[in-house]
Amino acid sequence: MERTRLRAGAVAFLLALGLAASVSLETHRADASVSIAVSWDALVGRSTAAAVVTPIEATAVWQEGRIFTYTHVNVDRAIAGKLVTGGDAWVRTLGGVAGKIGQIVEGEANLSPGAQSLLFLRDGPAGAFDVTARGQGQFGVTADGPQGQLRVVRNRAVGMLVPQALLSPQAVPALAADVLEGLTVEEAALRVALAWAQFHAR
Amino acid sequence: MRASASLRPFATVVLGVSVSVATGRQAHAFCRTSTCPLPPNWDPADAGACVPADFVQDCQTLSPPISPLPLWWRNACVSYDVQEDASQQIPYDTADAIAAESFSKWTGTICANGSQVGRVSIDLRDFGPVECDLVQYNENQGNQHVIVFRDQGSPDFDSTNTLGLTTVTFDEDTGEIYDADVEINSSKTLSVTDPAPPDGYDFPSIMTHEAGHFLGMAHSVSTETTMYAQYMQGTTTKRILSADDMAGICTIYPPDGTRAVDPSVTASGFIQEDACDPTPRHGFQSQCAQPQKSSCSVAGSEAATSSAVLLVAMSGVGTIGAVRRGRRRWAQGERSARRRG
Repeated sequence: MERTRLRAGAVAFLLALGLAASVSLETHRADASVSIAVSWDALVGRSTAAAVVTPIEATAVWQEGRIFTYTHVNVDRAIAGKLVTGGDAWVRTLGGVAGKIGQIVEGEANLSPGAQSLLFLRDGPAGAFDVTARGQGQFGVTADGPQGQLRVVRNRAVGMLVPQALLSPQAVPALAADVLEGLTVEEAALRVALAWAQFHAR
Repeated sequence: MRASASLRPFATVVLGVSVSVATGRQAHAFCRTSTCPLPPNWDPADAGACVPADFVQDCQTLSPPISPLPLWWRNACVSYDVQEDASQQIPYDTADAIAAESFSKWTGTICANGSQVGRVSIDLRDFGPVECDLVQYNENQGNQHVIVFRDQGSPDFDSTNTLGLTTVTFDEDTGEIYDADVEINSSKTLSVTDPAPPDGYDFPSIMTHEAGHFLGMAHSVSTETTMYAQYMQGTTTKRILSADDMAGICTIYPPDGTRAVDPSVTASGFIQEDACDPTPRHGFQSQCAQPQKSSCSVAGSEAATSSAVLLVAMSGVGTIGAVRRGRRRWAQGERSARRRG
């Protein structure tokens, strides 16, 4: 049943994409970039959704000479914004492999099938989402210790990072990676929900 | 990268300076870009290694499995082009001069390995200004290896946090690089002076780092290198290659004109370079290519793949056309804004 539903989702999305040519059976994603370390406020404020998701499948697409990978994800837990727990979504990232040709764009989120992540998302094209601040908006979910408690960890493969300006140390904002690193999923969800209410209040 | 450890490292000397700065046997900190992406939980600098111990197995668990291969350019000469509009902050001539200087730091490296001493066996050639301002690789039309500024940010990546982005296109079976393009987010405050202003992002530093990626270098384990994955605003130190950066470029492109490749590509681990021809793959053209093909690939269940095949066969241009039009409209708006400026 679940499989049927997912297949229907994939069908609908691909129909929406209007893909126009050959299909092969590979997809990955990849790696060169320089980014400014994203602050917690900016990550939450610029996102339209935050959720714990599990990638199911991915589709790499040529668009004007550039490869984009669209990853179909299950929404395991919607934390804030547009998504619904138990639903699904498509997430767009730069790079991937189409046919035998690959494109590497360092610093993108790495959405491997079956690997759960907390994602901060913003609206992208064609009904898909982009990951806010690219790889910096992805926090892996890992089981910790004998109890198997689920914790979130920052993405460590985000390309070259520029720390926030140090002109006025008192004014340097908290970085998203520092705020969430090592929290349990429950704790992280609470932090996100509180900040979300602050930045997305009507 | 995993592969680079098994390839012969070179000692290096700085061009024009007869001082050896690395020995052939010492441990190195440089890493090479691989066809397989790093897992999100891996930071080479934190871990002290380019890839996790189980990287090869990890890559085999991807769907489909992938063999991690280091990237390399086959030809002895590779072209690049600065997009003709450059940026309101950095005019074409300045951008072009800085790009040339950035690349020459890499290609001017002198390598030493026993009795073999010489310059790295790759050259970069400036093909001049090009019209195309899109990052593209075209299989059926000409290409350009463009360095393009984004004064208005970009619809393709998060412009709020991204300063520079290099897109490298490669052959998945060999790791051969087919194309590389560099985008610079000039909606941020870029500087070219030395010293750089405290609030400036030093364009020569960013460009030298991106040039390393263009050539197949990945982030280094060492904090002292141009390829280390952190840059401090207001600094210019990344303009200067470290001994380890040079050891990396010497390993990929040794003076004897070979290319260090994965042993799965050739048993010797080396391929002879092609004679100098900087023309991009499928020819050079200044203009952006007209889209001729879209293709997709699907990883996941066979059922989902079948659905994709069916739908792809049935569907037309739809939303992808809208995405294309969006990118083109955005590019036209960017050009208009620069001309008004």
